[in-house]
Amino acid sequence: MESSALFMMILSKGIIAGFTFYFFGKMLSMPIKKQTQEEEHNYPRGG
Amino acid sequence: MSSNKESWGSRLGLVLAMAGNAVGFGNFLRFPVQAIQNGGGAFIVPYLVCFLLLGLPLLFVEWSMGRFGGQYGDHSTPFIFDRMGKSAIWKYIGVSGIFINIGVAAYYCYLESWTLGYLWYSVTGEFSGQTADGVNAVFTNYVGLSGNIPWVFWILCLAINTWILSRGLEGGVEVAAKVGMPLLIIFGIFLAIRALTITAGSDGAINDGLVGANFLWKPDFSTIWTPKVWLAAAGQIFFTLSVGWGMIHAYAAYIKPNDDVVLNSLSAGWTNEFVEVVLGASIVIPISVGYLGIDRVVELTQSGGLGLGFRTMPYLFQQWGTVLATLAGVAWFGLLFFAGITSSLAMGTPWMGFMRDEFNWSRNKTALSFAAIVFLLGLPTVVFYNQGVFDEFDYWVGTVGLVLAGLFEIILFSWVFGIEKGWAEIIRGADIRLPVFFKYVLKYVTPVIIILVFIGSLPDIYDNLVHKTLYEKIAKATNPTEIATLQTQMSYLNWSRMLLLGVFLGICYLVFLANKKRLKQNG
Repeated sequence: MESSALFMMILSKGIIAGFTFYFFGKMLSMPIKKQTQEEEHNYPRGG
Repeated sequence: MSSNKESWGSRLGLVLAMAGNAVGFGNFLRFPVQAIQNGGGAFIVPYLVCFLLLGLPLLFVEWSMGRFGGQYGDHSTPFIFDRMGKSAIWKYIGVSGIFINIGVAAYYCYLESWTLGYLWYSVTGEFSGQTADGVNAVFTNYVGLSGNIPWVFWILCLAINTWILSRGLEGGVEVAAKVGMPLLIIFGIFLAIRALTITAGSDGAINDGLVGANFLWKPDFSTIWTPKVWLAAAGQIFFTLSVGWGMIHAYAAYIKPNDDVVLNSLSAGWTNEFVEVVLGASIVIPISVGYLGIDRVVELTQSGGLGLGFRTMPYLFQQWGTVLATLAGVAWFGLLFFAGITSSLAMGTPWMGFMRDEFNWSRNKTALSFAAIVFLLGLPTVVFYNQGVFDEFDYWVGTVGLVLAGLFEIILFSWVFGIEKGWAEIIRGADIRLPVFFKYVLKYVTPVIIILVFIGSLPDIYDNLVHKTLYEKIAKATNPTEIATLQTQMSYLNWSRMLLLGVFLGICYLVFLANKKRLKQNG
């Protein structure tokens, strides 16, 4: 495999895998939010 | 007041369902072809720039529009748009969010059923000992509706979708995503490893798998400043993230008012990119180049990726011996099936939300009505597949429709609703800080990119509208039978356009009735 192709492949996949794991990991590690009583129900139309 | 009180069971389920709705056949079949036709590894530069300036902003917009509408009990785009716009016309523009999904589901569920049919063929050894021409003939017979198999799997596919939709978000769609997405990734990893470790001279391979990877990733930076490449990159981002459809709005309408949309949309968006670039780019091209060589693959990709996926891959798997060929067939068509069903379920959600909100239909009744519409609208694409009706639906609904809908929604969000209110909607409840840079991107850059994509597509739209290619074929044809066949094909295409227009107007009428009902209820 040519070095330019190898470089583009590793760089592209590395960047994308890095961001995916970072955001996905962060999302999974977030505590569950407590919703207020009002937020637990849909607002009436026009509200 | 709507009786539609569904919600997501977990954040992971929501993100996997959103990622699943974006991940589709295009991740494995379209992206690699686009890359090799537009600069190889260099394509990733415009692709990632478009992801940053077009894809992510539209994800933020659609997630926040959906959550906004959900607060008021609106779970589909007509009344989400209506609430955000200042004119009554927006509810009819929002019809696109139901129409596009129904129009695409009509042919997409048929395509999805091919994967089930081919999964069956892989397990039962249909391809075993077949030549390349033999495998090709299986596909030709399949789309020519030879035998019962295509019908059986199409109906089965519709039944599975209906059953899952009728179980609701938490018990149906979310469970499907939690099962389907991990399996899809496992199958993808298995095939990618096998593809990249193909050795020339082994099992009939003429090249190493890495020759295919080299072919795909070798950068040609001289092409990346051409408009064609940027148009292709923007188009790919549009289609791969499923923006402009109305599905994301419909899913996001079921999250709670203070739930995050920023980190969720980043997680789902990047997961789609992972499946597309990390896995999707490592399967079809390395395997095809390994066994067929670069010249043949270039030739095969001229007609898109579907041919490679269904005509070529089953034959290439046979080179690996019976057991591995069966496993690879199951992994490949299983992967495509999960990619397909997580998308088709998302296509059903706007209709489910609309009918339940506005007409208080039960889940079962709505799911069955969706299946009935998809079946009836899909029939012409199935029966007249070889006459181009399938491609006609795909072009007008799944290509032009998306770009127009995306353009209208960004104008509505950034300019009509207003960027200040819109930005406040996006960052409300956000689990991470979104750079204010995106606020300006949303207002100026994303609309301009979509306008450029649309303008760049206008010549193609015009040529399709006036059947330029068909007229050229007719002009060249000398045989009266061939001329008559081409003229018949043109009439099929015109009828399919009329049918789509009729469906659009039908949904507009339902929105009109729903609005009348709302006005009556509000006194």
